[in-house]
Amino acid sequence: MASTKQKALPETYTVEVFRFAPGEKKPRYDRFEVPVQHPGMTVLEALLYIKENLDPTLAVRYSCRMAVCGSCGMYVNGKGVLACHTRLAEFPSGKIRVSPMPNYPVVKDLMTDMSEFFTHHREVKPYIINPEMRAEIERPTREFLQTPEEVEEYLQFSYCIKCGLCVSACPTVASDPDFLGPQALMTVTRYNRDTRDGGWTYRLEVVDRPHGVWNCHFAGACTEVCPKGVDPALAIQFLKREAVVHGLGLDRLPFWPKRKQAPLAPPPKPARRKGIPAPPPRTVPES
Amino acid sequence: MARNKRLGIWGWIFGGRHNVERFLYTLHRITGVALVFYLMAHILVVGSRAFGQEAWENAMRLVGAGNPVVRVLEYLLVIAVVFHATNGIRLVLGELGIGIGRPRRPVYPYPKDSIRKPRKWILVLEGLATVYLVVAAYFFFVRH
Repeated sequence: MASTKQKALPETYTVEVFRFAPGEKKPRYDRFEVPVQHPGMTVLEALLYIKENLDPTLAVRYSCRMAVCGSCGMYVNGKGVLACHTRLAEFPSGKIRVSPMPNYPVVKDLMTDMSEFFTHHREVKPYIINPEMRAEIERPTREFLQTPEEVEEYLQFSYCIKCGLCVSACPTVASDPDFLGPQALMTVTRYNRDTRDGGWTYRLEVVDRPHGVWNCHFAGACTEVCPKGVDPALAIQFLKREAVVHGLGLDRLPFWPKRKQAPLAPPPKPARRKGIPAPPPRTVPES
Repeated sequence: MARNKRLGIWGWIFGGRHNVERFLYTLHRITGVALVFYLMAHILVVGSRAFGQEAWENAMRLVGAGNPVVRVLEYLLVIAVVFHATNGIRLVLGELGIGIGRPRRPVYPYPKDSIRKPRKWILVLEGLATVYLVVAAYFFFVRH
């Protein structure tokens, strides 16, 4: 935002905020005049100023104020952003219009109901599944070894903060309520590409069905809107390739590269150095 | 009671200020549905030959190439086919993971490889489509 630095910012911002309370028939936009308190003032700070000084009934969800928790996803001037991560200086006209994320039920004002989003997230089994290493996963004794290259295969996708902006921007979600959504599909790739994981067939069963991965038609809105650079569209296209390869049986051909399994680290050396006494016997039974 | 704000078909375009791929997505759907309807109409018209030569000639008088309105509609059909085909090539390549980049560390400014990298295909493919449509327009409207 180099260009906005040179321009003098407006002293006050006109903030139009979407208002809706349960029981009301129609939503409305309320207009507030917010003085700029410091050059780095964010949209979230402006909303909190309104809540503290102008209208205490404004409902806004936030927590960390630094783009880590993913609570304050909303639309500012028609674009999906994290309110804490968006400075007023990005809008030199001095006027902003804040509305809740579309494609979610609105609970009150800027607060949306995320329960369906998390239902879809849970549906794709977003955790390491490894039937062969089950005992080790449940009661870990050692670490799994991964090369930096293997980590980079999924690291970008693990930066998701579950703000839900990708789902609100997705055109398929807009017209298909049962579609899993970019966040859940991206999570599948995040775990499927993890070499510690062995549960990719379970996840493919969940996504390779109607309203699953094939309803993504690569509009790219999820990637465009993601505030953490996760690139869900990239992950979903990889997932489609995986589903095609598995569906056609290519991965069963002998020359097809096999999935890697992260090896367990070698066991720690049991020998004690000379002169160090053995530990005292255990006083409580091992649980 | 929470207010449902699902946008429906409206959300295909008006879900916010977004990227060009979103509009291609919508156009791809519209042209796809249009082509399905065309295919049904086409089968009906061609199938009229099964009811004898007279039925066929009647159908040709109605929707034959001599009718200027039909000619314009046919040209619109060519636009739909060419767009759907060229955009489909981009989608198939992208969906097979070809040319859309690899995951990398999200260091600011964040990579958006999956939509930034294939943009050159959009230019090339839609450029080819435009050239084809200009040539087609010449044969449709000038040298018919």
